[in-house]
Amino acid sequence: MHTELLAHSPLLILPLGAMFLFLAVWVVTAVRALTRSRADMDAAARLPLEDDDE
Amino acid sequence: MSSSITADQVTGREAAAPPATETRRIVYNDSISRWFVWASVVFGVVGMLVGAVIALQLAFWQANVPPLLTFGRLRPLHTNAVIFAFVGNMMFAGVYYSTQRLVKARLASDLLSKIHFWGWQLIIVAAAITLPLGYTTGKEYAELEWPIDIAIAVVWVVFAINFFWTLAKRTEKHLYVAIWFYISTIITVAVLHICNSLEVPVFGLKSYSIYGGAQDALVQWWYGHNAVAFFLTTPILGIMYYYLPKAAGRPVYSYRLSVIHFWSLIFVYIWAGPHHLLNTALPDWAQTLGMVFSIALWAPSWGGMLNGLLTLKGAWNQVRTDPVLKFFAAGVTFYGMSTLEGPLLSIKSVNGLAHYTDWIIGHVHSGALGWNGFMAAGMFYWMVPKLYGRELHSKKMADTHFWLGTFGILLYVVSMWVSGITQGLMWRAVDESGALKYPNFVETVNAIRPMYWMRLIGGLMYLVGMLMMAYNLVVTARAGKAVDGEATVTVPVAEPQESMWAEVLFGKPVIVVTVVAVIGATMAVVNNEASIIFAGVAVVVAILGTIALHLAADKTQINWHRLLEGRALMFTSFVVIAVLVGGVAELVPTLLVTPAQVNAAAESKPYRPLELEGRDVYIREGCYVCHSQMIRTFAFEAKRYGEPSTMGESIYDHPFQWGSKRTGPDLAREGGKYPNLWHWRHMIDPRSVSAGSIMPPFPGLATNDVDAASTAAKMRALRSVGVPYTPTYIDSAASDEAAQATEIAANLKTDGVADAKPSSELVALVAYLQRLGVHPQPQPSGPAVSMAK
Repeated sequence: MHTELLAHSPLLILPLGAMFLFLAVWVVTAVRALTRSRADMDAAARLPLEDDDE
Repeated sequence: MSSSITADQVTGREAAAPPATETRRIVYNDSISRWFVWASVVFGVVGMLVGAVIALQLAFWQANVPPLLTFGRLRPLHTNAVIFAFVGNMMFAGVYYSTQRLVKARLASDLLSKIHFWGWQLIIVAAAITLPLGYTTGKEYAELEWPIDIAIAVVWVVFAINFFWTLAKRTEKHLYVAIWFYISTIITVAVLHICNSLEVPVFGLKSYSIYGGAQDALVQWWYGHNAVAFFLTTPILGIMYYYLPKAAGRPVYSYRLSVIHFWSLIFVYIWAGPHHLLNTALPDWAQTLGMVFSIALWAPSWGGMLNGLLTLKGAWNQVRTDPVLKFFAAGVTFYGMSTLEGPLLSIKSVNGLAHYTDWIIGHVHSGALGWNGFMAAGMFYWMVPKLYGRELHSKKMADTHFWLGTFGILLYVVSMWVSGITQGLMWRAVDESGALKYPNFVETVNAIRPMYWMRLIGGLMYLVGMLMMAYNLVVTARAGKAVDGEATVTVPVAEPQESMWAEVLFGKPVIVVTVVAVIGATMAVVNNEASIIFAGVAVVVAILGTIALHLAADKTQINWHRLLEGRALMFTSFVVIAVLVGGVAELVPTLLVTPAQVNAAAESKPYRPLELEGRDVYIREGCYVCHSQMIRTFAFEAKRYGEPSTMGESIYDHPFQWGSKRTGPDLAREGGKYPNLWHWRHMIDPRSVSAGSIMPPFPGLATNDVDAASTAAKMRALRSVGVPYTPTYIDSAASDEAAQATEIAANLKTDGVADAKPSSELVALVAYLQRLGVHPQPQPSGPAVSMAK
């Protein structure tokens, strides 16, 4: 099957490596984001409300 | 009417001693937002009007007016107008308005803003002229020819310079989440557009993609899917994160969730393109990758949706009375609906039923009309009163618009679900003997025609709502006068130079991620047993590293991501990495496949000159909009169309013609199924040989002449991208073209078509159709198949 041509390609390291990179980034980002201080987050979240109109 | 911020807020650091500060007055450039708003409203109405016309053409074929106003030529105009003119202008209006306020700085350059605006409108006008005239590359959502592609790239760079220059001048150090989404949009759209538009010009408005067959398919749908992601989704999410809190008067529900939402979304989205090519000749691993990431995409998409909807927590009473919040709430809900449906449709078995049917059209429109259209309406109803210093003319009219639009979308989407599922089931239905139950394709079309009328009614309701919005906004603007927003900011006289880039680049989270990624990637280069060990080690290191990071976190120090949020350049660099990692990893393996590896020489020969000209007519008339050339790996497809298509068969197709919708049957093995006479009569009057067909007639092709003088130039261009035409064969193109045309015309005359003109486009088109799926032996003077150039 031509569609399986690449099944044994050494280039498949690219998607595998990228997927691991993603998983690692995701885990670290999620944990770090969830453990950030509330005050820090609240200040950032209020930025759109500090406007010229209000 | 103004507010103040201090530079200390910017960094989040406690200043050791109060720095010397000064107060600045900023007057925002809101003119540019006003211009983009009006452009979006006008082109939105026009784009949706064209949509209603093509919906009518499907329900009532007599509404086609060849040659300029046929479905094949108008459908690309509709999609381009809605995506790039309506949503594009809306996005620019929203980005310019919110960015200035979020970073507390006027746009860097009024001149660049004007160049951006007028350049983009010129591109839209160029599209509106060239597409009905048949100038098209034949690649969906990227149909514009090469000079316009270059103009798009230039104008986009102007936009990028203006945006990033504004960030550089900002007085608010922290980059709010909306800005992250804008950054990802600007970077990724540039990458997508440039990569997918690489083409070899033949002359003024004619080019061939440098990619062919499966490679072109993969690049095209990497682009096509991510045009949805980074043109229709990420900028609108940025807009949601700014305008929804503004309209509701409360901060976003969870800033933490927005961090996770952003990085997950941009990393996962870029991989999902191959779900447009499931069960085709694309390599299996790429299909599986596309499917898995599409399903994973559900999580971040719903993270964003929930963050938007929960921002309204405690403000739901306002939703009842405020049309702005009504549109935002419904828009975000439609986003949730279509991002649930998208992953569902990406499951191979579900896709086997839905692909090529109207179900996909319904899915796309729940996103485009519900998410994009309603978010645009909400933003306009909120913005225009502010831009003109006056209350909205009529909230009641906006309410009516909302309900008309909502019912219009529901009618549209439900009719397309019914149509798609009905036709998909009919295509695969077999009787007790295993034969197709509905072997005549037209039967399956006639079964769904009532749904085409229902779709038209739904679309018209939505269009009336758009017209009401346009009127409401115009009256609002006329009753007020243009107002530019202002703000006062307090900034340090001399901001100390910071050297935080090293803290960001070599921060602990980056080190942990790098170590885990390297260990994980090692799996691919070791044997099976060792790879399991490496996978385990990677997981353990990731978990331990994360715990260590958490325990070692110093609450007195600035959080790593907070640092990143203050560094525009670094932030942009990380976005580039996130986007390119997926793109490169997914595309490169397939792009490196050579014709020899897929046995192309045995399965495919380059088109003869006349067939090539016929193919260009096929692309010009937009036949690919309704006909696929890809027989999927299903028994019911093989029964109807022949053996499944292979990679090698289309390798010389620049661009590929696999298609995305079957309003008519697949044509991958059309060659030899019918005599020349059948094709001739079918193109002039489809119903004369196929009762009940809804295809437009193309009588003009019988009288138009092929421009034989350009054939050799076309072959040379194709040779430069790898099609194995020899110089000798190119030199003899004219004589080969004439010989094949004379042969077909003589055959037609024998069958009674006395006026069959050998030089006509229709003879060339017949030559092309008769070649599809046929593997001819090389002609005596025919194309050499050597791979040597």
